[in-house]
Amino acid sequence: MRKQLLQLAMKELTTVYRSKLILLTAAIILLLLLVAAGGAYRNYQTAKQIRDEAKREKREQWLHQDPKHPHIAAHFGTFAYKPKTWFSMFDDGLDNYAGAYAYLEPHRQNDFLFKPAEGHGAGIRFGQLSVALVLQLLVPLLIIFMGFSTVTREREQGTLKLLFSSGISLPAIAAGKVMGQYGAILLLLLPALGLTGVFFATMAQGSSGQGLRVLMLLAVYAGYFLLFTLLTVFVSAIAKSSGHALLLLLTGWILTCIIIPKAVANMSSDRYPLPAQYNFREAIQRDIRQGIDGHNTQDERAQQLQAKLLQQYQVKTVAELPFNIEGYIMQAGEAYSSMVYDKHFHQLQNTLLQQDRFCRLAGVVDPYLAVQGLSMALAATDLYTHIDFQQKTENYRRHFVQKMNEDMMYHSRQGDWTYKASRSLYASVPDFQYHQLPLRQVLALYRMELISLAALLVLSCVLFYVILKRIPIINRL
Amino acid sequence: MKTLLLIGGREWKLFTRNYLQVSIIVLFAVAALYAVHYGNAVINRQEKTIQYIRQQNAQEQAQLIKGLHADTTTAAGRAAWEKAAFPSKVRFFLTCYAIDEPAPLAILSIGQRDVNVYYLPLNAQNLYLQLFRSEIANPRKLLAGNFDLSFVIIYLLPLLIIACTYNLLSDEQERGTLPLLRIQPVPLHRIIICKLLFWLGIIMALLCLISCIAFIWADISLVDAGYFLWWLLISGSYALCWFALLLLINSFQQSSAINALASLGAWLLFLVVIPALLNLAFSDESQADPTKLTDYIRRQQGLGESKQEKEEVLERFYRIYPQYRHRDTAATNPFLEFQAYSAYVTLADAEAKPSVDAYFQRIRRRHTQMAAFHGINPAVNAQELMNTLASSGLENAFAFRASIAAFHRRLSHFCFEPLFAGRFMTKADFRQLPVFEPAPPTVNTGKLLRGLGWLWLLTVFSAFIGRNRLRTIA
Repeated sequence: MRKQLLQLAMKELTTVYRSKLILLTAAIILLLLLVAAGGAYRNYQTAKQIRDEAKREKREQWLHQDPKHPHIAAHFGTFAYKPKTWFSMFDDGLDNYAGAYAYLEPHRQNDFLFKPAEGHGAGIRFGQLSVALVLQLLVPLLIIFMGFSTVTREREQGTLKLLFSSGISLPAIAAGKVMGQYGAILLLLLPALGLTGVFFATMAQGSSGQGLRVLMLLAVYAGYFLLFTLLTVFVSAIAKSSGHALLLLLTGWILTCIIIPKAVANMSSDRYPLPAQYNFREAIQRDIRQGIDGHNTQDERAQQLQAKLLQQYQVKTVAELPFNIEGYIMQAGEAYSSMVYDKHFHQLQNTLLQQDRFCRLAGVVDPYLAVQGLSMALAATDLYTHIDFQQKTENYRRHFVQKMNEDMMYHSRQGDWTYKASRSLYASVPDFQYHQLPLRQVLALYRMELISLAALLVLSCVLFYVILKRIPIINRL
Repeated sequence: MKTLLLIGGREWKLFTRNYLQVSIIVLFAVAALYAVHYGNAVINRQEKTIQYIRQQNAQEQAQLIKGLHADTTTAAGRAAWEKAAFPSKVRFFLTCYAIDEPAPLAILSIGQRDVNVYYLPLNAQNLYLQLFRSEIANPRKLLAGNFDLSFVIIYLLPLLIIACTYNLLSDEQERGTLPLLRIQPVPLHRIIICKLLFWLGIIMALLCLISCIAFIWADISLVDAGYFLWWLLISGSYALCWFALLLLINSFQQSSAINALASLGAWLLFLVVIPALLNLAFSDESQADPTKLTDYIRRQQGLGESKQEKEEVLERFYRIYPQYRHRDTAATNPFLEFQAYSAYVTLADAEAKPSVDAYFQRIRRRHTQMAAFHGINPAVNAQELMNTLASSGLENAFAFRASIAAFHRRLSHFCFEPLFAGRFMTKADFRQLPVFEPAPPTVNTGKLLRGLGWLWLLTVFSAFIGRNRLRTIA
């Protein structure tokens, strides 16, 4: 039995490698893969250089700014630059649609600006070539192209009868064909995958998670290709003719890879609408107005706070307090506004994640969506990484503003805006370093996709086996 | 003509019996209707936001102006009066909105309206601190794109055309009817072309019907009949281009399976591969590096405290804007500090302008360079044309930015005039409050015709070769 399976598989391999058309298509896809990798490498290098340079420059500006009042220094602020991740060379994910720069200043949580897509015309919406795009969109087509007639042709040529007469069942024939086809596609892609793997492995030395990410990516895509191979052979086995099989498979591809992803994303935004920037900021301002104005010690709430402090420290005037009341009020205002920002940004992020979850739920039946999500997640170019980056920058902003306010509180006197902080204070604010989500967390976040992909694989194996076994012999000929 | 009718009648009979084809067409129509609904929903939401902003902003402005009559004996009244009467405060507290209203056709082609901002709050502070804003959006949704009518026409219509016409010749061969056709008095190539024309008629009728429904649904007035004709011309030309490509593919006389694969290959080439390659080629960050702008979008603070420094800044300012120089009042001016600050930020803007302009210039240049490939990029070309018609493309985002800059100049002048004259704002001043005027939506005929020209060129080229090849079959 095993021998027969192997023979069938070998025959498939030979058929695939004999077809010049298939080899030509595969060559085109390989070429596209190489172009995508080359272009992405160039993009990564320039982006890294630009952002590293900008980051260094802003850090220098921060460190070497003239001695000034700490709160004024905080207002001068600094910038956060989202680093281009190493794996963005493989899958640039949401990079074109998520702003990468934010201005960090007191009192305000600013937006991330400069989505690269803003600088493009209609063309950008057609997608940008990347290794992931080729693997997600084009390789499934190659699989369909290679295998749509694998069983139907045997039937049309009458060789299926011969196979049956030698005692092989239809499920066994299909299994052999799946093995052969899958082996063929892996062999075709092997040069490119091997090159990419070696490239990543050698370039990403030092960080242990990277190697694992490469393996995970390979496993995910291997599963994805296997799913398409199974589907192709199955459709070929049940279809009346090659043409019919091709039509069915192509319709499936168009639905899975083009229509459903777009339709689902649109429906999710309909179902969980995001606020307009105006309404969002308006709601924040409304809440902040009810709090403490850090710049105004005469404010009613500030007065209440002062009274409380006087009582707490058993003193009569604010001048007797062991710190500058203005600094204290400033930080109290900051803490209040942070609370408001937290409330609203969490709501916003929740809506974003609800939308994302809706899309991901569709990934349970649409493997393209599942793989797209997983691939972006492993490449750290997904929505979670984007939100995580925003949160980490926001924490950094609060930390550095607090540091400035505390310096004002303990080292300056009330009403004295001529106090100047030393450069050592600036240096005591560490530079912002973004550490992306650890792999374990990524896998936990995307376990639904992993499970659904595995379930789809197992389910299709079982289902196809059962169905093929039950087709009456007369229909098979 | 008689042949056409005869063949058309037969094709119609075949078509009505082919449930698969009928159901594909029905599915297409359903997708188109959903797309119109979706476009309506998106643009309606934008319109609602705009309306709300207008209303809130008018209230805020009225509230601020009312401060002129406030009771200045109370602290709150005094503060309200200062906010309205001090030009130095008005330049900070008076907010106006620049609004990019959706054009009538934006419902059918949302274009870049979901990526770019369509409203912007402005006061007379630094322009560049305010110019770079973003609208809240889910990046994954932006990546997936909009399911609007332009998507249905650009992505799905070619698939429909392929599904109907990929086997014009091969089908006859596979059914065994080809020899029968060969012995007809009408040449074979004419029969094939007639079959193609039959489908062209069906698809065009469908396109017209869907467009009519979309226009009525979107409530686009009859005054804009010109838009309707342009829309039909663009989508019709695009469809025609695909028919020509299918004619070319059919003329190679391959089997149905090969034809289907070749057609899908063409679809992939034009809808996925070429645009994706171009985007990769033009996505280098050094081509448009926004990090160079970050210094202009942070708070400026270089103005010294001393009077001498302030006067120096003012002097530099007056040299560029002599209209604001009022020698007699300068010495006793209550607003000297704010004059100096305003002069300082204006000068900072002027200093930033070359870099910001250069940045946009580079983006524009990249856009032009990419447009040079429109001849081999019919899908992107058609989308650009639809966006141009719907005023939702990159060009419109540029125009909006330019009108923002112009409006900011007027708004600044509105505050600077009393500020530098050293006087308070009056009711008469507020009657002159500038109102944002967007550039009126116009149909850029030259650009549309250029784009259409590329489509027609590809159409004629493919049709010519296809027809000649078919002719040689006999």
